Amino acid sequence: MTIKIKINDQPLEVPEGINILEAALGNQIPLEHFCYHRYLPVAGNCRTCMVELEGPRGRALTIACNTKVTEGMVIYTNSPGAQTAQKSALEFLLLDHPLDCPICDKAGECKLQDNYMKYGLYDSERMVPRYFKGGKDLSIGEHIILDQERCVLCTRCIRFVDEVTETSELGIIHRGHESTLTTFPGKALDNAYSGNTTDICPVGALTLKEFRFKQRVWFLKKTESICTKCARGCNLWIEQNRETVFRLMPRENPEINRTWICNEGRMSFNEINDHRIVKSQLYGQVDDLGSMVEKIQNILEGVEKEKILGIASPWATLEDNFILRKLFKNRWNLDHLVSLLPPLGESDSILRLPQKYPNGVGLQVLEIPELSKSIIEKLNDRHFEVLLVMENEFWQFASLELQQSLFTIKHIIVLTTHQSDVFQKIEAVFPVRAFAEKYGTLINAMGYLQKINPAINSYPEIVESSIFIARLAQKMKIPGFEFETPVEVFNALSQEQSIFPKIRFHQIPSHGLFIPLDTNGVAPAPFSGHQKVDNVFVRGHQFK
Amino acid sequence: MRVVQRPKPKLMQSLYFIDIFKGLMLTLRHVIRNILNPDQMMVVYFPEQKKELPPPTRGRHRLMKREDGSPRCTACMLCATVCPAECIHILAGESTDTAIEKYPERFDIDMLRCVYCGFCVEACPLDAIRMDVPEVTVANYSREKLVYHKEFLLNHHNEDYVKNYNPPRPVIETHGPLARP
Ligand code: SF4
Ligand code: SF4
Ligand code: SF4
Ligand code: SF4
Ligand code: FES
Repeated sequence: MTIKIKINDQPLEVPEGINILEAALGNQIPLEHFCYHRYLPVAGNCRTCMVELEGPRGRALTIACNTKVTEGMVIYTNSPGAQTAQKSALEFLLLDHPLDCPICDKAGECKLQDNYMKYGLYDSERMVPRYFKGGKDLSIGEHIILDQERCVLCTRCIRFVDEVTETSELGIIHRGHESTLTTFPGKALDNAYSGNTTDICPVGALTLKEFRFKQRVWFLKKTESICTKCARGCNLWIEQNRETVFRLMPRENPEINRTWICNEGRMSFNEINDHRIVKSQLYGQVDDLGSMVEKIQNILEGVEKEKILGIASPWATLEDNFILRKLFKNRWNLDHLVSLLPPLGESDSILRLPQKYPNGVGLQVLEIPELSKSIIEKLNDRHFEVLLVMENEFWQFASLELQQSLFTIKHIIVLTTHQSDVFQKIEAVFPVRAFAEKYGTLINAMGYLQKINPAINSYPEIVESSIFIARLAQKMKIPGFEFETPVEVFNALSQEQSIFPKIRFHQIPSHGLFIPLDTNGVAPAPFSGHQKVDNVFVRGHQFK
Repeated sequence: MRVVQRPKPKLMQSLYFIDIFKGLMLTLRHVIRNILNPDQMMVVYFPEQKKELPPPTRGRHRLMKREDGSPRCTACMLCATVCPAECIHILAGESTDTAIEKYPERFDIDMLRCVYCGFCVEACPLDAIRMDVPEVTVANYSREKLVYHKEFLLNHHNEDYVKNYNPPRPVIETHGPLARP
């Protein structure tokens, strides 16, 4: 149901039930706001979103975030009355704000800076001396630093810990100009989603220790990607500068993660930079790639059809698993391609799912089963001669027994991204690209097909698993592996797998494509609290 | 728009000969004057002789210090942002002094890339970087030595000289009653 309203004499049609602020922002009409957040209850305490409404008794000021649109409403966001009100509210917020911008991590994406430049630009008229609240550089949690002086008391963070995580660590004490944000006595802001408070804080009052002073935000280049830490597949921005990832930020997706991500996912940026392998290794020693490829080519060509075991991966993309499957199907026994899944981990009713890998559903779609009893029996009989492992660091989670029987296989070939001690036991280890360095697709537990994009290209000499295997297959003269990029692989895959709509890689929307799958998928995010997502109607407008 | 006709050269001008001769006469006059009057020659025998550069000379960079000798710079990176040659490289660190919070762990200027535009000085909100060390010989035997580090930029200049030509400017208040929001 849409209704007709007028903003600044511009006739608009907007959905019923949204507020004026969303109606304006969704139609590219700028309107100042601090405390309103699309996925938090409305508090209406900053008063910067003032607009004028035409009523029976003339124009009246009201806040746009807490007023729902009604049929025939006439709204002014740029009338002199509204503008004065917006400006004055902003002036109050800035009155005792410290001039910290040079050392403030928020500078560059700070709402106070942006709004002052957009709507303020007044000269200060303060008559009385400044009031210094103090309270700088306070560590209030494992990941969070609070600067009480910079806080504009918008209560976004409080609403987040009250309504989303329901842990209620934060509150405002004192009154008037002494009002101060703080944690409750004896409590630390240490919930599993605490990092989100630093994103929603419109100013630099809450900052992340892991990002503190590392980089100015305007140097960072953003790439759309997906979190690979659990089966939810939260949408992310990978933010990098000069081939180093400095932070992962949530990307709005109303159906999957709204604007939240868990701390585990947020902190996983270190893994992209650290302990990577870039050179191929022979029993733990760096060796020449060309000669090693030749060697394993000989092994793979020599092995009997039934004596090779493949391990696919729930961390690898659809393309990687697809190519591995294709190789097994065309050359060896498809029954001997299995996956190894880690044990279930922590979960909750907000975002985190127990499956700590991003593409378990992808494996189901490709019909790659888990390691079965019969294969284990064969393993114990020393049936296999070659083990081909793709991006599956089973040594980190598999039982010792299973590891032992796997490591007894004569030739072990591993494609992986990170260094490990077990490489000494492995005949050939080849480096491949990590998720921040390649194109690919993943299917999350809810059945959304989502794509990842390369954010960095630190190691241009190494290739994706799919392309590595495709090139190997080409060398072995197996037809049907003429691929140069994972994008080509996906395009072939979507043609071959009947379950996908026949689309090309670049047609997958950035917020994912829902595929009705017959898997035991998870019901769409049962977010807790009283929030409803009825305010989302224009996808083009990313909320921050 | 108005079209202006190029004035037609007179006959004498278009012959060039007279003008070339006029120019040579000027040179000749200087030669004769220098021979007769060597003391008044305008040449400086650099590097044996050095001329005092006038105060507004834009020289090489230096970093300013606080009263306690620590760098005034807070590693805000505005200079690195504005630098058209991308030659300033700063690594920020966390200071133990909570009043300072952020300081430059490393501050390198690649003098080989610097184009002496002075934008970094303009951009600095704390007057922490100035280009007033009157040195015209930014030269060395290796490229590495021409990347000036923090210690060098803070200390390696003649304090007296800089002081004489740059009377201390008022420090910008960021805290205290003078600070303006
Ligand atoms: S919160 Fe914004 S305005 Fe305040 S110091 Fe930080 S960047 Fe500047
Ligand atoms: S810390 Fe940030 S989010 Fe929390 S009340 Fe203050 S300004 Fe708002
Ligand atoms: S003078 Fe110009 S080029 Fe040189 S460091 Fe400063 S901003 Fe960069
Ligand atoms: S602009 Fe000034 S304070 Fe900022 S980093 Fe450069 S020298 Fe330091
Ligand atoms: S955004 Fe409406 S009152 Fe703060």
